[in-house]
Amino acid sequence: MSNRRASAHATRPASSRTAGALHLADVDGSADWSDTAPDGRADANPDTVILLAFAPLHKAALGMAVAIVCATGFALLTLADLALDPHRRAGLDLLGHYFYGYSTSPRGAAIAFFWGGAVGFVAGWFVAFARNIVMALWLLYVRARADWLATSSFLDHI
Amino acid sequence: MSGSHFPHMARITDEHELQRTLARLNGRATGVAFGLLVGLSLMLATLILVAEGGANVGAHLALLAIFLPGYRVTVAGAFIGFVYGCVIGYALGRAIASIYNWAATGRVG
Repeated sequence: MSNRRASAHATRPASSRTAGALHLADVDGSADWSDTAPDGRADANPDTVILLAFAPLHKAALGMAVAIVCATGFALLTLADLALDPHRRAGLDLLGHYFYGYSTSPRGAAIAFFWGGAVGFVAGWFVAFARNIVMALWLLYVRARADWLATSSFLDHI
Repeated sequence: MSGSHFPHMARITDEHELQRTLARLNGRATGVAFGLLVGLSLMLATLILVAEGGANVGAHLALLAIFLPGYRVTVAGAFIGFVYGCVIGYALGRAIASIYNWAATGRVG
């Protein structure tokens, strides 16, 4: 237990242990939440456990992550086409119909970086937004169902 | 329930901290998910074209061979594409998870 607890604690970034800093919940299965209870029980506070399990994604952070990956990938794809496909058989130039200014050229790679970043940020932000909404609705449902189950036998006691 | 009674819970039971808690992405799990998604998609797309048949099977999808050496629109090529997709998807997923975890620790407003 102590080793797992130490491991779980180590997965938290140092910045998250300081007051006022953003926290990352270890809801990915890599951590042991039994350290949330003094007696080793993981479900000592169901509300806390549920809130941590339904922790939201940071929209701007996911947007930035997807933006960096998309921008780099799009630019590298353009440069790879320049290097490997001298006859332009792949037809990447057709992407210029959707991404203004794009072409298979070194300048196009820079434009691809910009467009990849823009589209990636929007996509990542929206994925986090949609995921957070779904999780919030699911949390609402779980709580409502728990409340209903807790009070459904009310009439039996009258 | 307060931190003074249960010191182990002190850092997560504070309501303000809970509201600021964000989900963390597991790099390996995200990578595997992206890898399987990309790999299976490419394999399925290839196999569908192979099953359809015709005079010039998968003329456009075959252009991926420019970037993925060895890939062809054949049954064997579908498995080669699966491997390529898994590798590329894993790298993308891993990168996204790493950058997200780095950015979400307070560096992004």
